[in-house]
Amino acid sequence: MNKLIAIILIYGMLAACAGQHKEPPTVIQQSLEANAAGLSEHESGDNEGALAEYEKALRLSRSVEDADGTASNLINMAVILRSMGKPQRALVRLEEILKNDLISYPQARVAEAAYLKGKLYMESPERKGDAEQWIDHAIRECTASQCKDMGRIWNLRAKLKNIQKKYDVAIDSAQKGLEYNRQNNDEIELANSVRLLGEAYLAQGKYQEALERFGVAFDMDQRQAHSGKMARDLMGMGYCHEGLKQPDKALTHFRRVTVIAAYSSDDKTINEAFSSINRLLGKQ
Amino acid sequence: MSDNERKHCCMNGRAGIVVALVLAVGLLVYYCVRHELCASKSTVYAVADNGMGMRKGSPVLFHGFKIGRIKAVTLMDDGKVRAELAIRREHLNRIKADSVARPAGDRHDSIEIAGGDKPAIAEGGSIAYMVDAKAIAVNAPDPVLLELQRISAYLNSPAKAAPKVARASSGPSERRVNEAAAAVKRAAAHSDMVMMEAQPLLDTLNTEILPGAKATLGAVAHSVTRADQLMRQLDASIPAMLSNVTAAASEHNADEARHKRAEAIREHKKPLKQTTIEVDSYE
Repeated sequence: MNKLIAIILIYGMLAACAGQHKEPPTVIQQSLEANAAGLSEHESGDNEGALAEYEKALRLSRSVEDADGTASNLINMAVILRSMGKPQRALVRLEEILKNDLISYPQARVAEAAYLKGKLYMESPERKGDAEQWIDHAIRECTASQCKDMGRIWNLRAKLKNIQKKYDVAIDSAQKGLEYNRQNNDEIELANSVRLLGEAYLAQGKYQEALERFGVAFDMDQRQAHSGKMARDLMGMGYCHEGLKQPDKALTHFRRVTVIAAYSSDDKTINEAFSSINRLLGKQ
Repeated sequence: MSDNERKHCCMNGRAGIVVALVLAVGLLVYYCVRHELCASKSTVYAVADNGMGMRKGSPVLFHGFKIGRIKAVTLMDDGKVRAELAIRREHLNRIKADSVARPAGDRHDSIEIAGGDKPAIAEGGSIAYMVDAKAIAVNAPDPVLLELQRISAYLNSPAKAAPKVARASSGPSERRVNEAAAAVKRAAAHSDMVMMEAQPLLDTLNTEILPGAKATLGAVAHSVTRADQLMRQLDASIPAMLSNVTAAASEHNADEARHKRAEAIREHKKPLKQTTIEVDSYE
């Protein structure tokens, strides 16, 4: 009887041990975890930590030729390197996706990579002229894959056209971006579309149209609590009032900018606001 | 001889006896007065460690005025010297219980009592007798001086000086010198013996122990120098070490946090697909 109890106890303990054993995570699972950890590090402001996690995720993804994981982590590394002020290193990462003939990366990822490359070129005085082809490449890839980034890609195109002073094309691009963003319910990019429209109308001297767009964009940006963009909206409204010969209203908007931008430490916008105030006061 | 002559002779004899008696009494009175034997006296004792100047019969003075005489000087069992002072009764009240007697005069042929605030001493009481150390030194026989005197005497008159020299040589000073010399010789002999006994030990010390001790001391000095260098290096490296430790701790904490996050993600099975960071088109 005692022997039987002992055997039952031993089997019970073995069963308990077996129950506690966990399967080690697969490589894909580990890569996903590193990818998630990288995002978490990025959101906490630790770019070095994020880069390390994405590097780890990339290594794991490559080890099993996970094309989506590889492209995703290459893009994430490029984004981090861009935010760290290392555009050349960011471009190298993107080239691994865009100039690849070994693996067939998902088109949506290729579109993302092309979009990011176009953005990096726009920020580079030497390569600004080459930005458009990569933005168009992104549009093609995104259209083919019906990716979710179409709205932001069109917005980027609108921004480029505003810089190129091709305001009609900019308005057209921004309208397309607006539609996609409305469909995707992406309020951040939707506000960008509206603001870009406002900037294009302002540049064309269509102050009233511009004022309406800036007002809408301001409300959306305020909901997102994005003070930098709010400051840009207010500056646009100020210019519109100035164009509409309403200097007092313009001064009010410019002064609001000095307060908001002070909190976002946006020196460029603050200086722009003060010079506008001085200009208006000089006229009076 | 006739009766008259016998009577006359007898009368003359009686008269002579009377005169002699009168003279004797007169002399006795004179002696008593001269030596104050007839005066009423009180006895006081002066006790001293050193009885220099205490002589029987020496006058006892008070502010230079004779008030008595030393009647006797006695060496007591405890080594102290006690002088019995016969003080005229009418002057006894001048001596106080804390008065001090000292030898007086160039030759210390009298003693002087002075001072004192306490009440007058009672008959049979004692006062202190003090001799200055300088006076003792001055009066002590100087062996060097004695030697010089002896040499001087010898040079001036060797024939006359010889007995003196002989006497001086046998004097206590010479004896002390000889004893001292003998003691020095004994000490030297003892010292030689000690040195002889110590020599092997010294040889051992010089040949065996000292070289080893020197080597040990050298090694210790080297070790101390090395330890000092290491301490300096340690001091210099402490900030870097602390920095490394801090960095390691920070890294460890970061790893821990990542690990926890990964664990949390795994537990909740959150990441179903790879995600990319969305980049704002306007910024």
